[in-house]
Amino acid sequence: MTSELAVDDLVVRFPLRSAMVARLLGRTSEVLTAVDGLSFTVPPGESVAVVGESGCGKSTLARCLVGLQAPTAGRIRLGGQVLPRRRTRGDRRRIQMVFQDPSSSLNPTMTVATMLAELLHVHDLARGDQVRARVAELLELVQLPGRIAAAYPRDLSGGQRQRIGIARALALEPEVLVADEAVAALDASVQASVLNLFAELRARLGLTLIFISHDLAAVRHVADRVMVMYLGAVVEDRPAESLFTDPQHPYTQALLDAAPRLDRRLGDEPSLPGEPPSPVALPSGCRFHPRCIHAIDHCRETEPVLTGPSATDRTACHLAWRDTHERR
Amino acid sequence: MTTTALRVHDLRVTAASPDGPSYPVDGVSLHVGQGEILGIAGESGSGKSLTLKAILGLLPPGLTATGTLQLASGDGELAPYQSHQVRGAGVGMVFQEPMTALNPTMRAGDLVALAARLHGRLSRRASRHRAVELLRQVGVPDAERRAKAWPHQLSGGLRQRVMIAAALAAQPRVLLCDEPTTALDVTVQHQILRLLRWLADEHGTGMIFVSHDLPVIAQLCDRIAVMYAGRFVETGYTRDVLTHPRHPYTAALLRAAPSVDQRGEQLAGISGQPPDARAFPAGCRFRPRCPLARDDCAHAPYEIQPVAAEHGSACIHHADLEVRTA
Repeated sequence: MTSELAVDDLVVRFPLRSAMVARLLGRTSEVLTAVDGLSFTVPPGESVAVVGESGCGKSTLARCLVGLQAPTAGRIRLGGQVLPRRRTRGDRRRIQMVFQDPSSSLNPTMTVATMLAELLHVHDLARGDQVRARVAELLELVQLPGRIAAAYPRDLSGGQRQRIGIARALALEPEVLVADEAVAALDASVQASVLNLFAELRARLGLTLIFISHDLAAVRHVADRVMVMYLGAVVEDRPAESLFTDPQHPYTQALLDAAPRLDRRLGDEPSLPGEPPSPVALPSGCRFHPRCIHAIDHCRETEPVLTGPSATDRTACHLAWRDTHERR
Repeated sequence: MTTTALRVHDLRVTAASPDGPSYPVDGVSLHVGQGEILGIAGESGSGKSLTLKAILGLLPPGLTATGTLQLASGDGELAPYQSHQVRGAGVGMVFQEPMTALNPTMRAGDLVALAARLHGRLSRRASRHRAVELLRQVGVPDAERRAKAWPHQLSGGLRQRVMIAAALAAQPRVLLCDEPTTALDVTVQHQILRLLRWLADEHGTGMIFVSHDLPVIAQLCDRIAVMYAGRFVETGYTRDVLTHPRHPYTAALLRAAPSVDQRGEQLAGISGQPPDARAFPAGCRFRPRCPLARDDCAHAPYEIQPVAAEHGSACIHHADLEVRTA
């Protein structure tokens, strides 16, 4: 029942000053490029993580996928069918989102049962006695006791709320689940059990999972494949195991170096200097070159193409796939 | 042996309520040396943030603190202090959310300058110079220009640096950090952790660093105290505690942490939640969630006992734990 998800040349730009205001002020209009030409396909049931610093466009991508943000250009296909800019109720059902902050994304005036029942009713997924049974089934699916049905969000812990956020997305029987920083706000002990839940749901329901996160350790635990985004573009897109053991892009390497580890003290390893430049004025050539320790003249002039041995094993770096000595 | 910069003995935070008092922080003792970083780890609700707030007298209304607080003076002698006298001067604080902790109506440079003027008795002009100098010291690029920026114009990492600069304006002996990197990206987190380590090493600033993130504490801190239900359950050198945990709670936190270096098949979450301060269980407070709990745990003293050199645990069965993890 799950279909292939495909994103073709997706672009999202936000005008910072409308063209008319700009003309009145006698200035050029400014545009922020949040997503700059993304193309990828995700086979049914695969779990893909999207990682990168704040402002890299990963949340904008998530919003596009679920239809909360209309793309400036490009299209999203599910099972070969193009999803229109304004989606029908049926289309919306197919891709569902789990939000970061479960306390602000649940209606505080509704019990868990009412919340889930309303969804089932609106989408005509269950009627009469079926509703109660389905609510119980959903709670069981996210490993919560049945009595939670009568609870309000305020009665629940952070971890329980996030499970309700997941149950709500699952209520619509989606083919694709988009989780945007879904474990970032949780305590480490709770994070572990929610990560396990994602893995189990995938195995049980055959869901495609798009897991958006800045936490590489969490990503390593759930992802089959990882896409690293920088300033609106994918700079590395590879099977998780290869990416973590043999990163090809210097930005990926920097992210891995910066990730805290239990068995490592802060050493002399250099921090990645500075922060990403403004997405209003993208750098020339390779967008990462101003922060890259390996940058050569070629990088300042020519933008590297995202390419590699296969369509799911790609890097956008002029110096990738060469041996490490040559790079250093 | 480093000189002690801050000593806290038997700190207790009392919350009054019609049902009687409860103690969310229930007898915490700690010390921080010059240039030393002490990490306090634990889940939300363990009392770690309240401990920091009590040290600086920043408790919310309705909560009161008792206990002995001592701070090193100029000649290195420890002396009791009143929190309002040292707040911002002898002891500085860095908060988790730099956006809500910085005054949005003041420019970054003015915020730091104000702190410098209040604590350093500098003129306006001198304090402005000092502010730019401090911003530069904490690694704000183009400090002169950034000093004129408003907090909302700065990125999360820069805001956190501004807050650290303001905290350093009075050259505090001790800096209290409440999850200062939790809201930041890993690359920026790494920069801030290096900055804190450098301040400890080069300026001798003692620090208490509160976090729920064990890998972050492992990277930065010399010593660690694991907190649960209002008390420390394990204390010691970071390396000792994290490689040979002697309390089941520490061991459970370690098993719950996913690692970037290997793909674990199944992470072990800790079932249940930390208890509410109004209903701490009798005996060992971790007992209801503990995989090793036995009958005698219900009568165990919930207190740190030495188990090895410079290593303490509140678990009466800590010896069994060592066998299990080995």
